[in-house]
Amino acid sequence: MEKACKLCLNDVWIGKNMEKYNENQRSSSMVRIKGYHGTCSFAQESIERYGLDPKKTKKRSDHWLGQGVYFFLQQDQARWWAEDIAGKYWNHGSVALVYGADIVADRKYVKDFREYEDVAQFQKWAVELLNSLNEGHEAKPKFTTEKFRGLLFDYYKTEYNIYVMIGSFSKNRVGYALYDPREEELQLQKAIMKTTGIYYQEVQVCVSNSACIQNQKVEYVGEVEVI
Amino acid sequence: MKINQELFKELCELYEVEFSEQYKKVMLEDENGEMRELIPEDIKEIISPYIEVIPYTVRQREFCLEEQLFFEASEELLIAA
Repeated sequence: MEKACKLCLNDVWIGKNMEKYNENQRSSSMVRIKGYHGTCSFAQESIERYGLDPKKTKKRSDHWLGQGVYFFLQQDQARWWAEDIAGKYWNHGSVALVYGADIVADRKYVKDFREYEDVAQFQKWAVELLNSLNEGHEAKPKFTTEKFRGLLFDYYKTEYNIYVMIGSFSKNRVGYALYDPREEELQLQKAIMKTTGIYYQEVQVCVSNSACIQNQKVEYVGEVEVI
Repeated sequence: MKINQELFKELCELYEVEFSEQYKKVMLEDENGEMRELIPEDIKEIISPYIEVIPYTVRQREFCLEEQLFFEASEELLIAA
């Protein structure tokens, strides 16, 4: 692979040149992301045996980006998430666990919704799908937002061999931020966010092919809470 | 666009999507539980959703109500958000 300009943007770098963003170069570029998966120690045995395998994840209808293994781009986010999981009463006795891994894929297998081309492409496809579903006289599906989201992403990933999907979500509050307002300040914060249009942007990476998850290792182990 | 019917049916089963001959268009249940037609503008919200995080306190530790994916520990253990 020829040495290329190295673009560092949230730990994403393009392995080859990036002179002009077009389909040919996208298909010949490798994407490498350092991701962090937060979980609890109850999952460790399974992860050590099978690896971070999308096929082993629990199927749920409320995924953000469809079925797969989810990663944060920042370790402190994954730690926050792992501490939260370990703190659930049904996980009593477990400790927080964070795995770091390299997420590696050819750019043509990646959909990054932080990039406008990918958003536009997906949007156009989704509208065409919706129009096609509306045709005909057969029974029509009834969705909730969550189910439609999950189904849409899973359909797209399967149909177009997308193994890595990256999305950012606007939030009014995040547990890992340095500033966390008091209860009485929350409403004011919400009003300020709505006025300014500035929210926390949480980036998540969903990987649906285990071959894209490499070099996994434990990066953080939490402590047992002593009451 | 030609729909991959087999894939679509499989995913509808996975997500437990209901069908109804009552409706002529694809329907969306909104946050109030009311059914309305799913329109292209809904897709924009799906790609970049806004998430309202509601804090609550349990055992003097503060958590935030949020739904996300958990990695499956084992078949015996139930880990859920």
